[in-house]
Amino acid sequence: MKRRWSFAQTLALIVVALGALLAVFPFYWMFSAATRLSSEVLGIPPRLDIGSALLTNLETLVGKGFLLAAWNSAFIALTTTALTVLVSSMAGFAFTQYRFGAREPLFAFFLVTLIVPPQVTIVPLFQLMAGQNPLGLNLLGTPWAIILPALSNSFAIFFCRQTFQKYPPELSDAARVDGANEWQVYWQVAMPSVRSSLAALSVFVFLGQWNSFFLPLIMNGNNDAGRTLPLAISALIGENSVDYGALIAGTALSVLPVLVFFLFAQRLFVSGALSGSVKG
Amino acid sequence: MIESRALLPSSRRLQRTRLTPFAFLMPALVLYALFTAYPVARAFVLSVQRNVDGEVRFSGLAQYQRLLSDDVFRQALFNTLIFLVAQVPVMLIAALLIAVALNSPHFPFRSALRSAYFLPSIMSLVAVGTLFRVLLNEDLGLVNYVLREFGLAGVPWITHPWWAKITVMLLLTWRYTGFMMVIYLAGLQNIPPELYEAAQIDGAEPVQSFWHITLPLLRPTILFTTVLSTISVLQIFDEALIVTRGGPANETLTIGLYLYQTVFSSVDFHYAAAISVVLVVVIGALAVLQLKAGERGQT
Repeated sequence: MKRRWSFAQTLALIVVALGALLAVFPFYWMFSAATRLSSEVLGIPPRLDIGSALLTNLETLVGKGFLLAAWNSAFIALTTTALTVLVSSMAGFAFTQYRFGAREPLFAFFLVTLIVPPQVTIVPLFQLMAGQNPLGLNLLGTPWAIILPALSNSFAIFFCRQTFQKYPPELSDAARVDGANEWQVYWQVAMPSVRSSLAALSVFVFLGQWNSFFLPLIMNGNNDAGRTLPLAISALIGENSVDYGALIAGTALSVLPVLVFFLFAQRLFVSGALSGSVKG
Repeated sequence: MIESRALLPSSRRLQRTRLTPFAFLMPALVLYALFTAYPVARAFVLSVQRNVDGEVRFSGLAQYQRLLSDDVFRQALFNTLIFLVAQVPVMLIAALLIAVALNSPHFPFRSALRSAYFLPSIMSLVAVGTLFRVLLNEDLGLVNYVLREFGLAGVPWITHPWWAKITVMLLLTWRYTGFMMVIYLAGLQNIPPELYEAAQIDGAEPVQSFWHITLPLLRPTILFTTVLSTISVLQIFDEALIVTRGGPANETLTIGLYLYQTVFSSVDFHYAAAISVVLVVVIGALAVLQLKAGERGQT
């Protein structure tokens, strides 16, 4: 391999490195500003070192219900992820491991909904959750108003069908010969063999729900107790005199868990992103 | 959960029957019927009705006629299309060039650089919006401070009609470029390296290889990212709400924001449903157009 550094290559390196710096810098600034008082976050000259107001900011956040919001976010995102993976993998298993007449039409039905933007369903979903349902249940303000609509995830079904297409059916037959029933074949044989794909799907679904804003805002806009982290951050911005230190600390708090997870499991994030993705 | 438990056999024997696949599909089907199929159908029904003093009546296309003469809706549609036309090409070209650079095996620190570019796409749009709002503060923000240090004038990022649009586009570019880059990198890895070697032997310059090998073979990936970005841009909501609240004077109002305002400020569900139906039609039409254009270019 011959390697000669031309002027163009050096230039490309500088430009690409500068772009990467721009991509990362706001993260650094966020963690720095999270440790400063409101007057220092917006102050001339700006400071980029670590300040001493982190605890003050965290106390402010606790006073504004951020612990509850963090718990709500975690509960909603984890429940959504677990249930989505369960429901979609069952569907993906059915679509690939059995032959039945309705197979193709049913899959097409799921596929069509891939292009339906969430804005379309929002008004009817709001009415449905507000009690316009046969049971008269009012779910507004509960986590379920956010979790249930998210479970109807056609991308996840599409993903699981792709995943189970690579699963060898001979494994199922061997288990059946050993006396396993169909649920055991699915849960104890098929699921473990596709777990790395399902891990990527889980990361993708979790991230979408953890970061989600539109649906929680509609379903939970006026309910402080049911707020998720993005809603709590948005509420801080809406205050008359914004506490910028607390605002950025709250933002950092919402990003930190995902960032730590990303640093350890980058591969899962990238393969989740690559499996073809739609903004949640 | 309930459905899955119901599948567990009491007799420990659950043989394969014709109903087995439907049992596995049941939870997904029920969720779809309730939370996708029913709401979509209902949105169409709502959009051809109107509310007269609490009484719901069929109103044909009256809501859609209202849309045609609604200046605010026209503004929102115009803004959204500006974002689409101005931001998507810039972002995709940048993402493609970065991907090509970082795909080259000789590029120093390439895996660290890839991670750096991907990083913004893990951040929620609310968090991104918050950071941009503070960093781009007109008097006291870091960005204008740096501009002034270089002897330039501070930019009215949030209060000026055109700059506010540019701010939203900068935000989108920051958040999504790395994501698109990763998709391009995957596409580039599917191009056999022998093609480049052969071209090099024939005396092709790297730029020629890019035009004659990379671009044509990457066409499906480019098409995919174009459709994907179009769909996301047409749905812009979080970022515009957090950074500019649709202002100044509706200059960054998007269809998504207008829909939200119609639901919660005007509490007009029927009109909101009509807006959402138009949004689906626009998204569907653009996606079909792009796919058709992609196909035609191929033959």
